[in-house]
Amino acid sequence: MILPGVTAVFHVVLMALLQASSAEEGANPSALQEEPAPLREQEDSGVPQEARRARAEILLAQCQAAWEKGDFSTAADRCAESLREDASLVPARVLLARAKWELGNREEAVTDMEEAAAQLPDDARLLGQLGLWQLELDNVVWAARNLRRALELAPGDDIVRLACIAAFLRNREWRGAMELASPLLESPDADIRSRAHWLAGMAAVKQGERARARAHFRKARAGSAGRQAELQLKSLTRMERGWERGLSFGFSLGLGMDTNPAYSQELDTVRARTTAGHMTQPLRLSWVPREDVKLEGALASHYFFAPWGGETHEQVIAFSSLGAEASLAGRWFLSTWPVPAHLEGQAFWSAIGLLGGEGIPDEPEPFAFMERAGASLELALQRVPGREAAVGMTGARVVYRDLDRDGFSGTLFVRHSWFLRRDALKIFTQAFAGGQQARWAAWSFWNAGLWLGASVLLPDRFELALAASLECRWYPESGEEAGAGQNPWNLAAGEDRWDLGGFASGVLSRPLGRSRNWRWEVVVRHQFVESVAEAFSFSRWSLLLQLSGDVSRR
Amino acid sequence: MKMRHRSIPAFLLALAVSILTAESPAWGQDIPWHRVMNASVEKLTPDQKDVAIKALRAIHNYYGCSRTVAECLVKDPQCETARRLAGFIVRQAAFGRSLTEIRAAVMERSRSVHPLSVQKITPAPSACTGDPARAKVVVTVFADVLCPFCAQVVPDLYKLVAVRSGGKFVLCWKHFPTTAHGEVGVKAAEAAQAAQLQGKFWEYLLAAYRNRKGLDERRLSALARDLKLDVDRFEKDRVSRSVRRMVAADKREGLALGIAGTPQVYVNGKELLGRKDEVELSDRLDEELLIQEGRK
Repeated sequence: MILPGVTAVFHVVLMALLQASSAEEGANPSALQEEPAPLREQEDSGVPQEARRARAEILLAQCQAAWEKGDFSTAADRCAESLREDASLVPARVLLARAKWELGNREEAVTDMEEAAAQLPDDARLLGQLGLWQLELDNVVWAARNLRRALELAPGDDIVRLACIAAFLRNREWRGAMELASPLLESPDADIRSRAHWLAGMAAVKQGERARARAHFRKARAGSAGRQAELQLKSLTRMERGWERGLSFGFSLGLGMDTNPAYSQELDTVRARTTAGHMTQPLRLSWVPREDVKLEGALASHYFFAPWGGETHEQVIAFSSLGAEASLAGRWFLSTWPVPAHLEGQAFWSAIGLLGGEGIPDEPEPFAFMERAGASLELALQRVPGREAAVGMTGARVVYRDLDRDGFSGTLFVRHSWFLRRDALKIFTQAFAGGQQARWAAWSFWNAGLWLGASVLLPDRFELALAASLECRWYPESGEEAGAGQNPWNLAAGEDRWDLGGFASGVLSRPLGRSRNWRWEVVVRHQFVESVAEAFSFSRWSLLLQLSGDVSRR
Repeated sequence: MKMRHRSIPAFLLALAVSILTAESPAWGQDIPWHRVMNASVEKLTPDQKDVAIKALRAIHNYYGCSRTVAECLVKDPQCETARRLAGFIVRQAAFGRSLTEIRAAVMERSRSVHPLSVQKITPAPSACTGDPARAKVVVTVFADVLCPFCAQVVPDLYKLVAVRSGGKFVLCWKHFPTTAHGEVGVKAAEAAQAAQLQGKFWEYLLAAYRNRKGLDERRLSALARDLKLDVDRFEKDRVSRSVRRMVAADKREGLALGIAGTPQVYVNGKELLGRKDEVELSDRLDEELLIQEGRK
């Protein structure tokens, strides 16, 4: 995708050099355009050296005249004849080569030019021309060799330097290309500067130095290589910020213990405390048809069994649930920004259905307990390599079965990620603040919190992921609403409900055998809420042994 | 008019013949296959031969004759570089490589033989199979005793240099122990260095490679005994500060060269890229001699 770009710039450079060469060809021997036949008919033998030289010069002049007229065939013939008279006549050899090139006999043209360059080994222009031709014929090793020699002879020739950089790139000599480009990066000629930055950017891309490449491409935008630079910036940003194309399917099956399964779905409802075994089966399917579009669907079932310590089996079975999610996300790549960045918009829908009707025998099974639909927008960027930042907002409409909590929610968030030690250590932080407006004002709240996470690769392919969060919620209308009348939340007069909640979890995982697709995981999690309204306080431990699979197809 | 009518079928016939002959089994007969060095053309399948022919016609020779390899074989039969490169292309085709892959491999080979810059490496004569100052081709290998690929490449190089008599070729060793293949790698390097102090470096090293699996401290000592080294001196030397420094100095030199993995081979200071099997190593050594002797 990148080297054709080098070829494109090479053509620009080649044309510039050829035009320059043509302009310098100079003398137009129109006076010598008469028919050269009589000269050709003369016998070679016995002619003195001076006469042969003179004849060669005349034939050369005729060759030049034919060249000027665009009659390359005649030019080639005359120059060849001239060389038969005097093989040391370098201009004839050069013009013969150029005529052959124009006639499409390019390998022979290169051979003639090589001979001319051998006769004039210090002629930078000949070597430059030869190198450019070889570059066009994909003879990149010789092209680089000749262009480098030409550059040694004429270090101030910017066009040859650009061609030499292109040749080095074609030879995959990225570092050498960067070094060659450096003197041109501050050139007073905007056009040269632009091309040099573009070529340096290409070399940087190939060396994996994307930040440096981006800086070069941005500088190349103001000049003749601007269009190619913008295309490269788009391609680079798409590559860095786009999703990986294809289908991916994630699956896991977990078995575990839960000391308070009522809160497994974070339903925010009051439950009896109990201990249960449970089984989880999340499924997730993602499809990325292009780097900037992602469709995702997920299903999750959470089934509790063997209630220990619960009052009745029915109560526990009621906690089992089915969840479904769907989302469509799109990214806009901000290719002209100084750092890799994108905007991401997402629309999502999710629902949770409970099995067993919360212990109510007549309740249909399952029934939709909660449904959420919303959208989010975030700006994400890479501040420096290995450090990501994002800021965004999410808004959603939530509908619950019990109607009281129906309403709108909104959250603002700021996120930072660090990728250290070649991604062996990753650290994530997120701060968020928002609120929810509910149909019954007592349920309306403001919240703010912090989330921290880290994952580290351990010896023998083990991986440990740790996460913790803390969140504070204030229900400003609760004192007035819940305190009035029956005061179901047992709040003191004039007292508002405040919750402090959070969780801490650890996941130890390891791939199964040599597989990259399957891994086992042990998850330990503790979750708690301390609420002014005592009924909402709880503490929950869960332990989960899980087998996870992740299959991707590009 | 009659002439014109007659010429149309003739033209069509010529066209048909040219199309048929273009893809006929005779395709590639213009290539003088007998000039291709170090490759068995007859072992190529028809598809592989097709790829080889395309590559020979598309890829330019990188030294001596400057035309495509196929043209060089025809027009410049004295150009040994072209004949070797033709062999390389045929070998690549025999591996089932595509034209694009062969191009990339040729580019690597070209950069190995004629790099932009040559590294200055100073091998210790005692870690060489001969006198590096007098040899025309000095092969330096940075390697680790435990690295499985080194266990294949280093004995191959040793053998290839040994069969090329006359002191033109010398193989030199540089320690580049890593912990990637086990903790004992550093100990093995120090043990080899201790053997070097008794003049049996290569014997010890090759024995260590033969016993690479299950190599531990006890086995390192046993190897010294098997080679009839002065074991007391060996044991004392291999834990000495000077031996550690020698090993560390080699490793530092390798790191300064940008070495990230083993084995890293330099031929007269030129980094060897690409495949490192016996055939390619042998070809590379001979090509370097060709350059050093001013031949093309």
